[in-house]
Amino acid sequence: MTCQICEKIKGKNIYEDEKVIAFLEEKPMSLGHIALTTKEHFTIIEQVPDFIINHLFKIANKIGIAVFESLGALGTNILVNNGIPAGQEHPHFVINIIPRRQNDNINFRFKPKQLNEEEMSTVELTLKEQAKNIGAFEKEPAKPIEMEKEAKKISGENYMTKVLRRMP
Amino acid sequence: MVTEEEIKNMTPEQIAELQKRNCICCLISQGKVSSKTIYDDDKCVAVLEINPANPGHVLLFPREHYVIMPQLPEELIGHLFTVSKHISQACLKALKVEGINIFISNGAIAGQRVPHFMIEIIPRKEKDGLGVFNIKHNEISEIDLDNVHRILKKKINEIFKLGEVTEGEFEREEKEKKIDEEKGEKGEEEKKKSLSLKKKKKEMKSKPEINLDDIAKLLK
Repeated sequence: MTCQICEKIKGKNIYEDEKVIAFLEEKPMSLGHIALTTKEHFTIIEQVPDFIINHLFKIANKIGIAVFESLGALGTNILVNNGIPAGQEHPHFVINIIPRRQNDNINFRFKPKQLNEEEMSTVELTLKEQAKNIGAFEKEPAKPIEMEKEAKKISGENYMTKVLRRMP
Repeated sequence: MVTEEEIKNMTPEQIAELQKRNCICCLISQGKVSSKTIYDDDKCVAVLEINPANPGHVLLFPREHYVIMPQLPEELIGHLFTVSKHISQACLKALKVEGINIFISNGAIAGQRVPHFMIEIIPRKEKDGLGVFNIKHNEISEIDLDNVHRILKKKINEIFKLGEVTEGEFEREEKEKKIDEEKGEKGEEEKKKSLSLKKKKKEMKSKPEINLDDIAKLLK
């Protein structure tokens, strides 16, 4: 199956580097709605390596700044919908950056649920147990050394070595 | 308590200080207000929301007081979101939910409730009544889209310092051409001078380079 987002990547973008790409949503929630995503195909955020997440959200922040400064937005929402129940539309991980203005008819206000003390404690305990493992973050693997360049470095003699060779 | 009169007379720094003192997130991270902490390290704290959208609704915020995301240093952003990914992973495993929303609101208009930057991590299940997080799509005209694209791309190139031939640069090139033409009319002598200078430069360059063999002979 072809991924719609992977197809879109080839289209009109507003930012691009070796790992990530950002483009304007054609049917936006508000004017200037941006979708930021990885070039590599990942379905949900949990699959994305830590160092890409690290890079991705730094870019998201900078794009957010650009939105504030150039599109007259008074606020921004950054939203990641992970999984179909969470409202994910494409099988490709996307960060939505949504500019907000006065009276824009967008509402993210949810109705809070009432949980009793016991329910809260169970959630706390199970989550805490699971979160104990957090701490070791993946770092970007070192890039392989380019053999050609290294080879050139070795073979490229300077005049001193040539001189030495000429000596009887 | 501080009266309104006093606030009026305060410097911005003092107001910031006051905000910090009354900020619930800062109080939580200092341990002055009790909370259900899920995760914490030297830079950030994750606690359970008291009025959750769903069970397991986590708020992750930096210990340092920042109001909105653009104020945060880059390193901290990277760290916060890496942690948020791991917390979301923990939610999926521990609570047996089928999805997660990671949500940030910057500014009161965007629905920010507390003047302290936070990442909300909301576990999701089928039919949990949280349709507000679904993306709604509106039709807009091609012209509007093109306009936004042009404005945003320009600003982004500015922020990321990406090189691109902008209108400004093009105009400058044109101007330089014009100046050259004017000079051509005015000062023929100047041209001659510059030509002779160029010749000299060429001569300098064409001087035979030091021969390595000569150096070798000297060594012998």
